Amino acid sequence: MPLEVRIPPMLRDCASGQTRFSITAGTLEEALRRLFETYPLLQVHLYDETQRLRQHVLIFFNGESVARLDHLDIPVRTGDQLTILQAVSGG
Amino acid sequence: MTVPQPDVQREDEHMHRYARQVVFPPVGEDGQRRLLGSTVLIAGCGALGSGIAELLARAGVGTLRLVDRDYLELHNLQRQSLYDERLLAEALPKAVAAARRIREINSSIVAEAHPTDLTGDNVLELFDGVDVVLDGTDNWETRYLLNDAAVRTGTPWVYGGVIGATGMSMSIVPGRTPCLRCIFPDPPPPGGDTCETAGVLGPAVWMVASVQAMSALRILLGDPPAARLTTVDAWNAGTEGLDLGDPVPGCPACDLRTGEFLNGARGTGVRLCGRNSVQIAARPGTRLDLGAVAIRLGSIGAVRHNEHLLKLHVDGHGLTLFADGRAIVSGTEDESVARSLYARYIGH
Repeated sequence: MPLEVRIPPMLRDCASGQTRFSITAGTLEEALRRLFETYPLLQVHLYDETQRLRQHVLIFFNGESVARLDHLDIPVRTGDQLTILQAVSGG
Repeated sequence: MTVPQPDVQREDEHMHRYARQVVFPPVGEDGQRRLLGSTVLIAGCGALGSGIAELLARAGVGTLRLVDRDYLELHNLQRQSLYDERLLAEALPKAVAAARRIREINSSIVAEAHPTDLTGDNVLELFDGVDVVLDGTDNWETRYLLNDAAVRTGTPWVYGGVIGATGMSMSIVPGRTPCLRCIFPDPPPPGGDTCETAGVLGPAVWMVASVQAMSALRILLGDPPAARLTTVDAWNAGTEGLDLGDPVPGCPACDLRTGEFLNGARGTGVRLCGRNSVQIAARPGTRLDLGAVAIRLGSIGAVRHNEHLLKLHVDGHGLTLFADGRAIVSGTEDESVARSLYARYIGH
């Protein structure tokens, strides 16, 4: 199923200039894997050298923080959304 | 929050002035009196702080405590709505200019000017008697300091950030909602985009400032918003609210209450470094890709770099940045100027 992915505009260069695009996957786990296979530079910005999510990054699946999910083996359904955010500093 | 003394004539004037929000049921006359008796701290009077201060002044929040360490500059006028060319010509500190402008907008409220750097030494004093704190800062060090002070004093505060055409905000009510470090346990590393390097648009500022000001009004009216991260995309005229859940067990700020940023154990070490220069230390373990930083700063000023250090000349100052995030700012002995330059161009 196609999953809509949204990334911060500041990271658009990591995803061929896009901030919204689709990834086709059966589960959330597969969607994340395919996302970073397709756009490896995005993974560098979101994860540290130990593959831990950087502490100023948030990933939400349908409005729920992925960090609070028990597992990522969640089936993807039409209309599902993956939102990636970075803490915003300017003011 | 204090309830103003009864004064029938003044009360009538107030209710006439604020009639269009008093008639809105969640405010009402009682709510308006609460606002008039409230004190807010606006930390940073740049773009977000300008918008927040104007909205809260017009809403009749009784006392605005305005804190900022910077001076007005021409490039502020594009988005910092309290300021104009007349104030710029007087070369005023932003806190002073903001207070003057707020008094012109609403002479019946109190606007306190505090032209100072928010630090662990003065933040608790500035929090004294404050009902809610609004984040108008442009750097993480001050936000984490505000977070620690808010937890220590039990004061609600409203985070806001904006860059380019996007931004975000969240309300933090200590003991009830996640705090800043529950959501972002550590600040981003230096070297990321800032408004100076990535730009920022006025409408995005106003959207975030509006979310922050509305959150503050709800907190002051006794109806704080839920624990949500509001994201703003001004370019596409969109907002989204993301559920943040509960406070995180083990959070160093609100659960363990370490107060690391308040007591100086964390944060940027800043010290005078010889004649006319200030050194700013980054947190241990920081490693920067100086080549990437040089590309980002290329449009800002003259940049040279090698694998060990980067030199930037901007705003009449020299900034030497090392790969471990440490920097030496030359052309000043004022620590707040050095902090400001580091926050603007290197980010923190």
